Amino acid sequence: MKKKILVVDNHPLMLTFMSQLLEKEGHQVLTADNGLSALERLKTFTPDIIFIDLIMPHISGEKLCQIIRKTPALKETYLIILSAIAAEQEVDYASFGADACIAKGSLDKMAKHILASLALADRRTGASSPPKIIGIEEVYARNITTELLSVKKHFEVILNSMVEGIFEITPQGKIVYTNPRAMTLTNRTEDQLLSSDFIELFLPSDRPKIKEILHQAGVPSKPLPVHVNGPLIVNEKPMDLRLLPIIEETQRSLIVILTDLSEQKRMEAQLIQSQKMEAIGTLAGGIAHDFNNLLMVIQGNASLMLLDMDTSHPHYAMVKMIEKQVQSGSQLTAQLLGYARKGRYELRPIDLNRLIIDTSEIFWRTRKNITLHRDLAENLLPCEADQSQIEQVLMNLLVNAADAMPEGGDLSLTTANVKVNELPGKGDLPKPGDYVLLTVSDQGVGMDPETLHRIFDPFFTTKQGGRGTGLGLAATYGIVKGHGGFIEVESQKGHGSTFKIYLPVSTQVLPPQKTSSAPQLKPTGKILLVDDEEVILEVGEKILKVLGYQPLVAKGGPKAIEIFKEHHGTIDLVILDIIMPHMGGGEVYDRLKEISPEVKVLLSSGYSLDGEASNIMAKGCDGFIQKPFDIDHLAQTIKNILETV
Amino acid sequence: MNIKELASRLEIEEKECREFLFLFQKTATLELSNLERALKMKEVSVVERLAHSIKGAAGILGLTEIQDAAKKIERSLGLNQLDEIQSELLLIKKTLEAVTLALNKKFKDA
Ligand SMILES: Nc1ncnc2c1ncn2[C@@H]1O[C@H](COP(=O)(O)OP(=O)(O)O)[C@@H](O)[C@H]1O
Ligand SMILES: [Mg+2]
Repeated sequence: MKKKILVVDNHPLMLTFMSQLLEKEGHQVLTADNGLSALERLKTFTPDIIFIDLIMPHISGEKLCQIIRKTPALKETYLIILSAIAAEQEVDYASFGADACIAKGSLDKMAKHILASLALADRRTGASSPPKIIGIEEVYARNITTELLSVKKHFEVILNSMVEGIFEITPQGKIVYTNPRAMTLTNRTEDQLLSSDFIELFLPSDRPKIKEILHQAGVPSKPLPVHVNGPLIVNEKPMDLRLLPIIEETQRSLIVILTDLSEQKRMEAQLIQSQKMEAIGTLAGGIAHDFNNLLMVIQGNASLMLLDMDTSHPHYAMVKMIEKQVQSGSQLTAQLLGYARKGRYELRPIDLNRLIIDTSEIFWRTRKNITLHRDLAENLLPCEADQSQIEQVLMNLLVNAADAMPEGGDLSLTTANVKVNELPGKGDLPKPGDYVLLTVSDQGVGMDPETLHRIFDPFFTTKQGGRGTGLGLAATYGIVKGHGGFIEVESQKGHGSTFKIYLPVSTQVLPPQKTSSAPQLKPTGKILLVDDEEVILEVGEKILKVLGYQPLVAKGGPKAIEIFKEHHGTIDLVILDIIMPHMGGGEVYDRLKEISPEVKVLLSSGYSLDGEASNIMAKGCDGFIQKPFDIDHLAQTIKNILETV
Repeated sequence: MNIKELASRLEIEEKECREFLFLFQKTATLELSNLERALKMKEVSVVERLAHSIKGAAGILGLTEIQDAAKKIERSLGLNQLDEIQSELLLIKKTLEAVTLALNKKFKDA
């Protein structure tokens, strides 16, 4: 019976021999000299039998069989492996879907085997006959070059375990090899990939570029490895592409190395983000420092003017306005410092309930349409914190809650002692231990997930017309983190929001409440004011004089020590700036203490390097005052220090 | 080399045998020069593939000298003994020349 036969072999001799042999028998024969052109043929030709060589350029015989077996139209086609390899080693041809295997031998014998195999194809029953290689016994010894095989195995192991996807493609851009990683990266099976167009892996918009690159890489005159600096998008992931042209004598192809950049991109983004945060933090800290000094001078002068001014004075309201704006300005710098995790000056055990009552009272006076509900734990443990920063946190949350309820509404504040257990999972989670929990809940507009995702970003605000700075929660986050605590937020659009602030419990006990009912003494005493800025010294001197003290001023550390020595034993208090050129506040403090261990020192700063102020405080410094300060605040602070013996 | 004899051994017509030999000679000559070039460049896998191809084709035509020499080349490659290959190459070349000669002779005679 006449059959349609395809012969696939890369040797012209084999193709000629097979055509002649089979045509003589009356069969219709087509030939192909490699796997790819065979697949091309099979698009229009459906043979009854295909003879396939194993070792061929581009798609190997084994691959070709696998592809054919997966092609529905070729299910019934009888596949015969015709290979010299079969003469030298076991070929498990059934494993890749072939029906029979003939070892290449000399023409006379091969001719008989081939004709016999045709008969076999006819007699084929569904039941698979045991794999048998025809012709082996007649070929020379099977002393295959096993060394060679083991080298190949090594390469295979390497290729199979690489994290890069590796393709081999023909100069025409057809894929002829993929390693397993290339399949996972492209999310395609080997069958889908083999003999498909490489270019189709890419987005249509990238294809012209790829085409150009393939062309470049394949220019016969001087092929060079091309490095496409991604990211190209493949399977929705950013990828880097490298092309290595392979020029062999008989075959030209391109090795393509595909690297997934997702992880690298993510890390880069993370790095950029943290660098950005770091930069903003440094910037914020620097600005805050200079700004506070500047505000200090404005504040001081305004205070001094008000002292001489009656409320009926035509300028009274204006100077008051200046004071108020200075207050807003210093709030802004406090937010920046909070965000930068700077400005934690005075860590001491505080009673959070007390702080909540005081702060919420002040707040409520400005937002009377809000109904406050307080549910404060009676036995609340103290937490170690900077009082003014925690006030700032609470104020931020209260203002946001009120903003979320423009028509007014209920706002609840609760506190509790909680134990946080070990949380299995990611690294950055809170340390297990005892915490004080502050919950601020509103019934306002709430937030959608996108907003929720960004609320802690500095300068993120949804408030229109300059009403929001986007710094409130950024500062809140920075401050809480800086205190070793953490924040949880729950919110749904239209259903209100709940902010939970966890602060670590202090191991220390609360200091006794200061009784501020001490008899009003007329202030007296000699005070040395140390700062590196002339204007601060000027206004400070005036203020101290107004308060009734006898001021001395020193510009810089060395000068301060000189004056302190001169007035040995008569100086009641030193007000000391922390950041000064040449000799910083820390060093000045130590020197002063050397000269006179009993000296009282009040630290003052517009900003501190994290820990610097706390370090000096820890050495037993008597107090801290944040610039800009107004007269009342300064008076109170000085009085407190001088009164404590 | 006797083409007539070879044809009868392979159980094909002399004319067919000539055609096959011609194809073999043409392909193998090219493959051989490519092989030598690849050897210089130490492109082992190319050398290996070409030797395999020459071996296969020679085997088909029963040209056992060439077949054995090609096989030895394959083996030397596996053992990384690239120097051993030269003598085999020479042998293949000589035999190929004999094939060419035999093919040409017939044309001259005719
Ligand atoms: N209680 C809340 N209810 C609804 N949205 C809130 C609430 N708190 C914060 N937000 C959202 O988070 C954004 C950032 O808040 P914040 O950092 O305090 O900056 P700002 O208040 O200046 O906008 C707000 O603009 C708002 O969209
Ligand atoms: Mg806010």
